[in-house]
Formats: sequence, structure tokens, C-alpha cells
Amino acid sequence: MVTGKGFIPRYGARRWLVQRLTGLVIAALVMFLSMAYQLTHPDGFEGWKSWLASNTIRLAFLLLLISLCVHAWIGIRDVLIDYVKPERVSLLTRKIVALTLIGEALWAVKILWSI
Amino acid sequence: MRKKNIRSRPKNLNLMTIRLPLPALVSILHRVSGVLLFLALPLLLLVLQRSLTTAENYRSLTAMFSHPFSKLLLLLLVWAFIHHLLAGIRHLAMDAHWGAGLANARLSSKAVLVLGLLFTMLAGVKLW
Repeated sequence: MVTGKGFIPRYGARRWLVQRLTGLVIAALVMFLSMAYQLTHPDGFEGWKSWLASNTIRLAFLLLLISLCVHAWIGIRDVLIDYVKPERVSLLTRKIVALTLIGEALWAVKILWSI
Repeated sequence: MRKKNIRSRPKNLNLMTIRLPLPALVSILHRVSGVLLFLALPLLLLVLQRSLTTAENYRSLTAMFSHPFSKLLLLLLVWAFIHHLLAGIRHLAMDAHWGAGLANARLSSKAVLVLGLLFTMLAGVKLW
């Protein structure tokens, strides 16, 4: 247990906190974006594109997708550690998943900024 | 000597004969829904990307999603998200020590499952 001046969580405690925080961010942003979509009624391709091009929506979407990648990493890492027993395979699968999620986060940035 | 004893202990891994308590069901579904969403993520990103390219692509995507089969798959993903969210909220409540004890755990598990199905059905109505 960490004591002393300033509690800066490390490893398990930090992961636990980040998982909760990203989860809340995702929930809040999904609710915000679905409400915004319902209220604006973007129509057809042009409407959809211009809705997403607005900076607020774009930023919200980006934050959502990045939080998603972080949240997913923490969760999937646990799943892989639980079920992939051989050590070297386990490490390899985790590295592959981590790279995939980083790639997906960068992809999300690319998609949202080339509107 | 000790390792040998651990290996030879009897174990029952026949999932069909294990009776899962309700909170355990919610828990494993939390994990399964999470994995499902993770696997769907690249597909969703692909759809997002495609929908922003040309009007023709947007139209073909909308046509693809009006197919009953794809609506069903979408509904499955919606359920996965809703269940994962509700079970996640249940986890947060447990973190705050609310709903501790067996009776409360069973109650909150039922709430997660029932609300999950309810919200999914509402989403289904909206999809159709």
C-alpha cells in the first residue's frame, strides 16, 4: 500500500483507476453523441459528413475511440493472461493486441481528421 | 512431489454440468461482451471510414444495414455494449461497497440482466 506525500498509483492500482475512468468517459460520450445525433437529425451522406466535421462532434468521437482503445487494452490483457498459459505465446499475443489497439487509435485519428 | 499432487487432483471442467450462480453469469457475460466489442471495433472503424468517403458508399452501407441479418448482428453488438456497461456500473457499485452481500448481489445481477434485455429491446424497436 502506497503511503507518504501524494498517492500516485502504479501498476495494478493505476490500471484499475484508468479502467474505471475510461469506462465512465466512454459511457458519457456515447450518451452525449447519441443525444446529439437524435437532436440534430443529420440527413443522408452530406448531413452525416457535416455533422461529423463539426469540431465538437469530432473531438467527442476521437476521445471516445481513444478511451475505447485504452479501456479495451486493460480488459483484453486480463483475458489473455487468464487464458493463454504458455509464457512466450502469452507475451506475444499481448504485444499483438497492444499494437492492434494503438493502430486502431491512430486509424481513428486519421478517419476523423480527413473529413 | 508437491507439483505431482496438484496435477493429479480431480477436477470437473465439464461446463455442461456446472450450475452457474446468477452473479457468475453476469460476470462471464461481462467478459464475453467485452471481447465481442473488441473484435467488432475494427469492423466499426471500417464502416465509419467507408461512410465518409462517397455518397455512393454511404448509400450502399445504409442498404447493407437495412438487411434483417445485419440488423440482428447490430442488435447483438448493442446488447453487448449495454450489458457490458450495466455490469460495469455494477462493478463500480461494488467498488463503493454498495450492494454487498449475497441477496444484494443477486438483486443487482437480475437488474443488470433484465435492464440489459429491456434496453436492447428498445434499441431493437428503434432499429426496426
